[in-house]
Amino acid sequence: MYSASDVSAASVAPPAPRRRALLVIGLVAFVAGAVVAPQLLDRHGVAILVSIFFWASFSSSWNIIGGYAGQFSLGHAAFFAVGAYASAWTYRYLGLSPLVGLALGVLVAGLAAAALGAIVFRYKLLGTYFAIGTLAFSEILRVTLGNVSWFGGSGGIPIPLAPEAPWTLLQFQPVGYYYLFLALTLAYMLLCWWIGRSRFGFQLAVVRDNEDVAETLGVRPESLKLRAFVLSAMTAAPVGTIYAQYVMFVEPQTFLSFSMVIQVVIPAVIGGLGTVFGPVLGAALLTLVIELTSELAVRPGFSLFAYGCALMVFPLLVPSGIWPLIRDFVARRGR
Amino acid sequence: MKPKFVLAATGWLLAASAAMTVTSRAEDTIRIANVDSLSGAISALGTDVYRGLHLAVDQINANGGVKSLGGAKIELVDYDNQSKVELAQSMTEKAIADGAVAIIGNSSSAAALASTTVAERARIPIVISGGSAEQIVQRGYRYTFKINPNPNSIDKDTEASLENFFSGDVVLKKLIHVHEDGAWGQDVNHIYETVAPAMKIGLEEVPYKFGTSDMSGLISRLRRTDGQALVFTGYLPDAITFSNAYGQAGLRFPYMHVGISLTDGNYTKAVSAQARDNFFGYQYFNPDIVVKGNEKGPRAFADAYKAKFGVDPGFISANAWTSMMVLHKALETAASTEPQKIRDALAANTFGPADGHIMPYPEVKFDATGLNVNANLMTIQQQDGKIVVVWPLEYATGKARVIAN
Amino acid sequence: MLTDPAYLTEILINGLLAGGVYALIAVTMTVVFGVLKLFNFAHGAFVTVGLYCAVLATSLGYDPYLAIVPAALVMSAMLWLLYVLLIDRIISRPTLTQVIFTIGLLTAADALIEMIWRTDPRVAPSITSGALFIGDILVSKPRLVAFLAAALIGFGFWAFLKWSWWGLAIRAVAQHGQAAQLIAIPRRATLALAFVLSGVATIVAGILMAPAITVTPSASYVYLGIAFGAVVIGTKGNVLGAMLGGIIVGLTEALTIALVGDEWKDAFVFALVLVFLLVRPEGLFGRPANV
Repeated sequence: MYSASDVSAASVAPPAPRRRALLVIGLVAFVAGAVVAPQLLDRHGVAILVSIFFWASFSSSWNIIGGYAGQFSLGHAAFFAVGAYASAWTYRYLGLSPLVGLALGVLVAGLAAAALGAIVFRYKLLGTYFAIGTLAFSEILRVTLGNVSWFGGSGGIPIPLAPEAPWTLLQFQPVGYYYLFLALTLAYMLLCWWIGRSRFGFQLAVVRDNEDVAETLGVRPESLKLRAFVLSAMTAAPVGTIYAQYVMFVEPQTFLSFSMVIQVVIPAVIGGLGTVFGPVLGAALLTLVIELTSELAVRPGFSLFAYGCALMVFPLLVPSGIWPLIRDFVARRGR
Repeated sequence: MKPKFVLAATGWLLAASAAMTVTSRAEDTIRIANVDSLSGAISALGTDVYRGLHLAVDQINANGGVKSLGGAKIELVDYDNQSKVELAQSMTEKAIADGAVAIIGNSSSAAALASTTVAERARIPIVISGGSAEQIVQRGYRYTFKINPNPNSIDKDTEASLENFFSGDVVLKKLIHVHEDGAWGQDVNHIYETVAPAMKIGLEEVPYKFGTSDMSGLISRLRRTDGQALVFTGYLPDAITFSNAYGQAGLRFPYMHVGISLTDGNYTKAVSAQARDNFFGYQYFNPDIVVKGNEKGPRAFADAYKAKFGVDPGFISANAWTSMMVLHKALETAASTEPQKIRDALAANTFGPADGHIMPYPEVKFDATGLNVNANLMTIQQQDGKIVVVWPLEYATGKARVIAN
Repeated sequence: MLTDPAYLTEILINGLLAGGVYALIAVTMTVVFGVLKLFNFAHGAFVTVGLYCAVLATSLGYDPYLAIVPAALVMSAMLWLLYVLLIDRIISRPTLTQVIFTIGLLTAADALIEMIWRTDPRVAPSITSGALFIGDILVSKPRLVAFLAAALIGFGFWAFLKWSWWGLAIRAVAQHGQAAQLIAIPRRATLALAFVLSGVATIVAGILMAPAITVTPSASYVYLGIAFGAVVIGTKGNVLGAMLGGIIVGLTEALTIALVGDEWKDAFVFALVLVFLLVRPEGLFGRPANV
């Protein structure tokens, strides 16, 4: 019987005992390092770490629909915004804890994804059509949030500060958000790892690689893609809630901007689609590139130019992603 | 691609990022950080603010720096957020990590929303020189101080000014407000939503998408709408598009207001003088107004700016200049570089003509939310090729001309 | 007001004129989509390049339309170089890799324009600047010129693809890929030609539009969404379909502006696209089949 890992080249291969030990040690070192890191860096370093794990968790959630299920979704920012607006709105106007808002956001995002997914998958939107369809959804949401004053209109919803707030109000020093995003990232990595090894993941991989064949094997693509889409949306919402608390506002132009829509895809693709570590590595690289190029203020626009060039160069040099590269390298050395 | 190369590149990236966190700093200076859009979509505003700030710093330092701190000079360091919210955050963090005792700048409201959050958590005072959205001061922050008025706070003034302008032959029955769909446009619309019923006039709201290049649909509608006043609230590129389309369509309203772009150099280049004759607009600062107690101030500022940068002050340069002067006074009264003390001084101080105030309102004074309560705009009109201040009356240099069609 | 026939006519004409230019941008995008199988986010940047070619002409004292021929020549060479060095490698890669690459290209191109011209808004006035009155109906002259020229170029493209040898070669490569090489069609040269022609036509569309609008570097994103939408409506790879799609988008936009409001136009255009995707994903001219 095939296991998910044999069919799908993108998941973690069953390692030999020595490699497994190495992997575990590596993971423990990574987590330990991540926990300790903020103490070793200044504020700016912490801000960069927050950025890395924000993109890591956000992109990990996209990875579920984009990597494991192989559906190019450009609507992910919409579910992120749903999470952010749910918690901001209920806190500001109802005084509810953002934790309640987070749960609400997850619920609403899941329902929205179920509704949208039921329609688009039933109508068999694939490939670029699915991308444009999800992009349409995201754009419609952006315009609606901006023009309906009930949601705060274009000015959005400012989140009032509560000094001496209990932790349930999710208002912390920046390092607090770092740990939140870190926890979220680790949770999502675990989720992706489980998907890669499960029957669900195996079936998703078959659908991803060849949808017609999947049907003949008795797998139902619509239902699988829908589940992946809903899961992906539900994991995006908490990222939105925490980010809203980090910046203390929600606003349609920022949360549903073209950059938000596109940038969530980049870490997963650069790091390795459908892999557990891909989004994290991609997020680290993306953040570092953004920070480094922003130092190159030779002339207005030059940093952006350098960033654009970096985006062009990477897919050419590392086509399948960083993690597969590292994994293959380690595998070859191991022989 | 060779894995070794990848590892080497990663190593280089890590080393470079470590190097980034090391900074040096001069002795005996007070470090203030300007975090702003020096590139990207709103770099034009960022440039205005940059220039206003640096002119102020040069003047302050030439005048003996911060005297209560032994003549220490102000060191203004610039950080570019590329008009992006995420960079606004990390650049503000970086500025603080590099030793800034106060943050200034922020022309973009969205970036300001993010930067103020960073400053609040770090307990560093931040003076917003350019951004104006009301949300910036609606979160109960104690370290945020906003120089510009809230967009919708000048309704009483608007009502009074319209009554003054329409005191002649033309009777105001309906006002049409064409505005961008962003926060600013919507906020300004709230003014007219309050003013219209109070003045018992009709209001037609015509929102448009920010950045629209095709205004023909709007013009079609306006050609068939009755009204005596047309107010346009939009950023510079849209103001240009609209003004040109308005002119080409042969539209003529007795009162045509294009907002803050009227005096911008790009606007005057792109819209012919004839097309914009009799247009009304807003101005934050005018060199010819008389500020009681500092009569020579406005002109002196404009001349110094032109001498240093070769152009007339941009439309928020004076706001930025004022924000730096206010910060300087706070440093003087605080007699300390402790952020908390600077913050307290900012909250308690006022900044008026005796201190060098050049703006068209009595003095800078922040309320508990950090809002500059007296801040106000002037209404101007282009008459025969010259800019005339027509409101508030105590700063007016001429009388408004509202001419029937 | 809507019962006023002049008003309605004016709205529809405006929509048609705008749609004509969208049509050309959609045509060039659909060719790239259909022939090179490239999901090209940088397409919007070509429009912006065209806009700034016009701005350059104005700053040198020439009428922007005069930029068309020199820009076409210079850009042909640069696009050919771009194809050979980079695009050729990218088209064999998976969609997502292409997306990241083209976004990088878009970002870099916009940034380059910002480095040269800053973000100050520019105008490119021309002898056609101004408006035309047909009775009570107002028509912008530059828009009319842009529409006519775009229609010409668009139909020219269609004719070229249908009747010329190279056009045939392009269609063969689009439909049969590698197999086209079996009948001695030089694959790379054909792809390069398709890319260069599309790019140049898009740049020319930008030059044509410049006198009618206020130019800033953020123009790229505006036309991107519209182009995608028009391509989808008109069937991926179908030139006439893209033209029709562009017109439909233009009219929808104009009607939305008049009936609902300019601030909702994006939502309605995308809603239209979404409906099309669901009801007729193969587009107006496609056969119901998997993509």
